[in-house]
Amino acid sequence: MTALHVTDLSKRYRRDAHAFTALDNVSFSIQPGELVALTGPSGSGKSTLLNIIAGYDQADGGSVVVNGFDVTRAKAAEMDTLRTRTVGFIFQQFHLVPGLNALENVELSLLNTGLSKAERRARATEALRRMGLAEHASRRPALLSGGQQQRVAVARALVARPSVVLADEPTAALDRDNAVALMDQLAALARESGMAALVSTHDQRCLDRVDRVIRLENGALS
Amino acid sequence: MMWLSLALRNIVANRRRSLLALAAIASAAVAMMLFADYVNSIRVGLRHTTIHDGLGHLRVAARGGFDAYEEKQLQHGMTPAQYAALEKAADAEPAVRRIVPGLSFQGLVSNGPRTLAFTGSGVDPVRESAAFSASHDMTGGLPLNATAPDDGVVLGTELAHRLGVTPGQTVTVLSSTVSGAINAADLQVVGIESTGSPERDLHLLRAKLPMVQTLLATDRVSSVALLLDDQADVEAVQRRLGAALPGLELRNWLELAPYYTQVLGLYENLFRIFGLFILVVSLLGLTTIILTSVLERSREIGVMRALGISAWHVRRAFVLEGGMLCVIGVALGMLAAAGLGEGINALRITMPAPPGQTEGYPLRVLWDWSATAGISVVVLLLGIAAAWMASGRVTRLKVIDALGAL
Repeated sequence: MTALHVTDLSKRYRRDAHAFTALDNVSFSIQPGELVALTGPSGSGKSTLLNIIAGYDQADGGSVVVNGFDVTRAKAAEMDTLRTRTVGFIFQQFHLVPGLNALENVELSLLNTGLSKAERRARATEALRRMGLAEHASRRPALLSGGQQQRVAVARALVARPSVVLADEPTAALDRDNAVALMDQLAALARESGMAALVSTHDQRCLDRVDRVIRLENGALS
Repeated sequence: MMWLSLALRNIVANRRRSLLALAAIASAAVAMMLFADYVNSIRVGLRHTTIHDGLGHLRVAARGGFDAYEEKQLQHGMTPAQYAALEKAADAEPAVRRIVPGLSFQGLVSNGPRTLAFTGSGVDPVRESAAFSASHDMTGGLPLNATAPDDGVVLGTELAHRLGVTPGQTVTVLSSTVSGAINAADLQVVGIESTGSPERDLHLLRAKLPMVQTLLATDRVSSVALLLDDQADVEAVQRRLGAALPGLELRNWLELAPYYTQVLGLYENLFRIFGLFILVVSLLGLTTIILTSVLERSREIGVMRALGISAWHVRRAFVLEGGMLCVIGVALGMLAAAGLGEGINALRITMPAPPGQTEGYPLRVLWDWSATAGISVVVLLLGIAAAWMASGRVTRLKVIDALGAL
């Protein structure tokens, strides 16, 4: 089964009397285990596309099917389940909850899974360990470096073992070493687990490590 | 546990906002608890005064003695046989501590040039002083006690003043006997007392029971006060004595003192209105603070929603935070109320005299556990309701809008 299938996706924004096309009939597919880069200049529609695939925003037309599930027609409760079990999202700005420590931030992704507290804790601990952050589990985000925070965010996105991972400029706030390490980890995970990954970036270091590149320009594939 | 921990950490992290919320909740709790304690003090004080000022826990009279129209004095008075039966039955009741007979009568009192009407009582000074606390102030002379002469009489301040008599002087007391004849006796003024009510002091006259019985040519008494060891036994003793003494009527102090219920009702209504205003104001404050918290933490809400945590779970987290603020606020309010209550009592503040009274009364608060528990529960529940309403925005927030900077 195709991990992600996007068909004729379009999105327009209206502000006052002006209309702006963010996505214009975008179509593509990603297979399980494939690591795909989404590139394009700023304002080309990369973030809009990722947000619609994750169900954070709504499309004006077209469809997004993740693991056989049509995101564009999902109800609220179905979207919660999809976000928990099927799609993992890595934000550019990490977006860790400041009041929770690293372990609890990772555990947040498992709250809606029906796992017991002990299971959640064990899986969150394992996810942090894989990111090399086992010893920082009890630290709050404010006490972690940018690279460590991004790795916590990655652990949080992957801990529920999603079929599809979406990453929005995950290396933008990282130095070279951390950026390369993160991309290597994503590539390894995609190969090991059969997870499909779509990574928005215009970082050449990332492009060297992906299987395929999709380029967006003015909301359309080029 | 994680939500509880997150709520606690958010409370600590947002100190200023949390302190404002706690101040609003604690202030409401303090104000309501102190008011409730004040009402409790009024309730206990008024009950004590009502019972121990001469009424007793129970009053016993012959049939018709309480309500029936009397053409002649003591027409429905209690006979010596009835009184003896009552004493016997009351002695068998371990809860009954004192039995105090009394005789009410009306007449005229004169010092020669001036004559005024009075509402008098014949008392047994020994039994009365043993049973009741002397709440009346002696403004002159001595109280009507066992050592007072048999023809001694105590007058109210206003009555004595208008008659122009002082202790040691003699007054003539005129009354009708039980058969309707006029009788008179020269009595010696031993003391002058004030009840605090000028109206009552204008008609007050107290003499020894045998003296009054002689004046009225009777061996009857009007009624008998029973003082119990424990307030809680009133109804049971009333029921048992009523069954044992079918020829007599028993009424408890609440039935005989309607003003007690009226005064308390007034204070309780004031408390309800006052409490409602306080609750509304403080809960508006709490709602605003939680709403601010929701707005400030929109991105955090967006992240949680983006991770698949349902809006209901996120909303519950805010309600938990509001609930924790309420629990802490109520606890602080309780401590503050206890401390302030002690302070108010220590200051010995005197309230102005109520209408119809000549003397003020001490402002006291008396800790009321049941009211404190009730107020705590109400504040907590309404606080949670306020948090629930304020966090409603969480369910309406779109993930993309909440994340904002994406």
